[in-house]
Amino acid sequence: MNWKVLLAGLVLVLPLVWVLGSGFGNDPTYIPSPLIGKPAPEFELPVLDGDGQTVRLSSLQGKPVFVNFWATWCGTCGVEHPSLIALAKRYEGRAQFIGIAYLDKEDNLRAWLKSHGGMHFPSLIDVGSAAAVAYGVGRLPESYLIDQSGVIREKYFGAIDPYKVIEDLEALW
Amino acid sequence: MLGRLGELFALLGLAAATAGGVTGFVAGRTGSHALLRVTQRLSSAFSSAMFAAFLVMEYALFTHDFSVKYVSKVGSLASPTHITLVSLWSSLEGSILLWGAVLGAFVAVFAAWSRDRHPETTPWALGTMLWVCAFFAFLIAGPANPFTPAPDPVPTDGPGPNPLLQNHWLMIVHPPMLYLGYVGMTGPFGMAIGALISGRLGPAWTQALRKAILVPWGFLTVGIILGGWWAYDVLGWGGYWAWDPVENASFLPWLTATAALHAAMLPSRRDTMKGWTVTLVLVTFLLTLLGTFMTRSGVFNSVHSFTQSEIGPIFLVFLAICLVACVLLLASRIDKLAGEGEAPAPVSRESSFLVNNLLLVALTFTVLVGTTFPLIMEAAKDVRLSVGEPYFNRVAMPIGVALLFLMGVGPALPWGEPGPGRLVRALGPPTGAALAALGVGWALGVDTPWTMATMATGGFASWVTVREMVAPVLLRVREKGESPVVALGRAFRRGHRRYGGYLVHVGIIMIIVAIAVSHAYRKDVEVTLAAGEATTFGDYRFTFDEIDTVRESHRQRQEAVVSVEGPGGPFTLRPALNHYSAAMNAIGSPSVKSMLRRDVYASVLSIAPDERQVGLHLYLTPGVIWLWIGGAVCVLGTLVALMPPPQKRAEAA
Amino acid sequence: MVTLLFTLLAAPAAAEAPVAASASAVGLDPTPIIGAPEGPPLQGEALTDATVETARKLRCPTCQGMSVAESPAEGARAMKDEVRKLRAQGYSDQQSLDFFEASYGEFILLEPHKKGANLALWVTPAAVALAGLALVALRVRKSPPTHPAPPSGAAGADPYLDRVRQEIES
Repeated sequence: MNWKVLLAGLVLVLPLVWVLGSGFGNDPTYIPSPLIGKPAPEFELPVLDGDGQTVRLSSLQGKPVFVNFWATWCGTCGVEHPSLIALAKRYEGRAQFIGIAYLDKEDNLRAWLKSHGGMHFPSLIDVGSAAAVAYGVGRLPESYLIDQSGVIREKYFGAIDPYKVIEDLEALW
Repeated sequence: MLGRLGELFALLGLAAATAGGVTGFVAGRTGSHALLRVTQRLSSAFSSAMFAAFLVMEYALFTHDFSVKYVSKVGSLASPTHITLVSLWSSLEGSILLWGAVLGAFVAVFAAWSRDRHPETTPWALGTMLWVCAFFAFLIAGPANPFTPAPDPVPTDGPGPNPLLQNHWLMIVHPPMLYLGYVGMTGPFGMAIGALISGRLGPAWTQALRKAILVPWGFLTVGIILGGWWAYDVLGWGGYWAWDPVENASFLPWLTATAALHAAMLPSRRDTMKGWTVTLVLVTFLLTLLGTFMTRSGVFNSVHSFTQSEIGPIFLVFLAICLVACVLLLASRIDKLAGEGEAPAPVSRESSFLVNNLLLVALTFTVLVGTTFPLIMEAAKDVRLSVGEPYFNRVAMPIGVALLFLMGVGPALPWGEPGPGRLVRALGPPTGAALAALGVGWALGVDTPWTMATMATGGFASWVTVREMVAPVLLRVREKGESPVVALGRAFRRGHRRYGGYLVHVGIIMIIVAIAVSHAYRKDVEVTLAAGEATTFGDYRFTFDEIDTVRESHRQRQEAVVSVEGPGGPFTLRPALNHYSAAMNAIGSPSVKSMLRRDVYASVLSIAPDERQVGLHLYLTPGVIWLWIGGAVCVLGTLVALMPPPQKRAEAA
Repeated sequence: MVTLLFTLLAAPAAAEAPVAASASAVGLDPTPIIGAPEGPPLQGEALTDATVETARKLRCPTCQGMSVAESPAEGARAMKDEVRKLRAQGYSDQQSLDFFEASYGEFILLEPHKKGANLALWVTPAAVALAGLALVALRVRKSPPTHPAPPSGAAGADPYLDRVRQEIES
């Protein structure tokens, strides 16, 4: 037995197997957001069909804000939309739900919303995609929960789990 | 019905391979000739079964038998026939089936070659290969079974293969080439294990081993280059290599196989380095497994990844068993193999082979660390990070230049111990060539340090390589009085392996220089043009004429007609957006005009709904065509090196 | 109902500047994250080069593995526009990278920071290369060859030609 070869081989091989094995069960597209616990980036964006009105995030402070980045070209966005509507209704007056449409056209947005149960909370238009970049949006849909003092508490990847959102929201009061 | 038949063949293959693995090892242990014959029959049975299973699936695809789940997943009535046939390897299960079929082919070749040779080593080698076969047959019969029936009710049509794969003819050729390369490494692996266990690695076995590495090495080279070409021609970002985990996965075994080919040249001349050669062959095979795992486990983030699949953990278990078994086997048997060779002199040719191996292994290790580092950090510290092009380029460039340098210096160095006078005489003229190449580069506007270094070492290496090919011819002309043509023919026939090797070197020099130049001097611009509008970029003037819509059975294609004026022109580029029914987003396909000096490359970013305006990404990339030419030269060199030696051809005739 | 919400929401904002006329009115102020621009504003060719310089170091989050400069994906192009905006204002390469890192995490950088455990990424390959070099050197120098150079052939005058002869005859 050549002990040098054995040792060198095992030193190379065992960590490799461990590393490869540890990757299972992790979703390689899930990237924890560095913004959690930080003040939410401020934005001021025009409202879809809002006659030129804008919404400023800081004007909403005092209530939890749930920001959902979406687009009509994103398939999963249609899947989660009913949950969002239900949540917006459930927390009406207590928390503010906002959609931010990313890389999309107003006509498409209108048509899409019409065929997906109508507009139950305002959708803003991310002009120049600056908000999406500031929030670190990668693969749509992604959502953020901002607490009463304007701090990001949670980021949701893909279609939201409404029960998780309820749990997180309730924890804020 | 067809599904059942295919499944039956897969099970037969599994049974044959498992039995053959057992009988092979017993035959190796007992030296029983009868058992070796049984093993050989079983290996034929495996090959036939895999080939039959492959044909069954092709037939199912061809006849659109949607009762087979895999056909309902990748087949489509709308797909043209050639797409239907190649959709066999467009998804995970089918690609494993192709793997099995290719494995069957390689094992059949080895079984035929080794029929009456090396009775001590062959049973171990064949047995090892059959164990690998058994694993893949198990995947096909079990966890990655492509023959499972479609859920009731049987669908009447399917979505067709991934649109990205339907976009280009290269996608038909690239995956099989890569598989031939990957799977083919099972052959040398078995042979190396055979040598280790039997403790015999004589010149004949080494020579056969070298050939067994060279064949899949050639396929792997083609596969990698075609992959780059495909990326360049299809993905539309003007590049051909992104250091993506899956690309790295194909590069890693290529590097170690290259090292093994060079290391295997030493034992046939001097009796050193046997253990090292065997180690490299084992590592190459393990890296092909690792590469397959990377592509199919869903653990790595990659453009090319197959979707998450359940075979990942099974594959990891197999990989782990192979890794540990190889380490144990090497540790226990390597000393039996080591020949009593002498150590080479510091600047002799042997040393340059050692340094070559060192560089290739260092590059392999770096790419491996870079590729797995995000996983390591995630496992160890729960941190997500990326290791991409800037890192790999930074490390790979110096090593690439060093390899290029060695490619020049190595053949110029004498075997044994050279005196200083011989060294100067050997290295002087190529140094002149290096300076000349530098001058040419400077005249063409090359000004970045690494590119300059690449040009200079490329010039040096070219000179040496060409001289190595010309010198024997001149020698024959002078000493034997042959005419140059006859001398060339004879020198070529006698030294075809040598010529093959140097041709491959020429190809690699072209590729490395092309990479350096195209990477350093690529220019791009994004423009929006209205119909009839023109823009100037570099020496070229681009005019957007109109959108030309082409309807095909499986897609609709919007081509932007762009006329280009400038050096090598005028010509027309037709970058397009393809709309497939299965895909949500349109997929772009760029248009390239390749010229010897540069490529003019355009891809469509957007097309206005009224088709009166188009967003274009324009690229001017120098020297890219030399990558493909270099690749072709590598193939030619490999073929030349594999030519049967003259006396054998005489026998055959 | 929805309209009510809208008016409620938009009331404070409506008093401010009208929307979308200029991107900066809508865009975000990077100053709180990365401070004031370190350099002069850029434009023209310098801006294009600077944009590519930075974008090549950023990972396209949707396509995985490709840089923002190269990716044709729309998300990447939006990020590239943001890079251009930052560089135009005079933010340096590093500042622009920091801006993206603040929202996406270190994941967005194609080459991680050279600090802490990340150093292993550069140190281990170098260490392996050095160890290999030491091994080769040791092997080459351990026992100087006792044999002379390969015996010269008949011609003998030029050792290089001898070698060629030897190789093609072998």
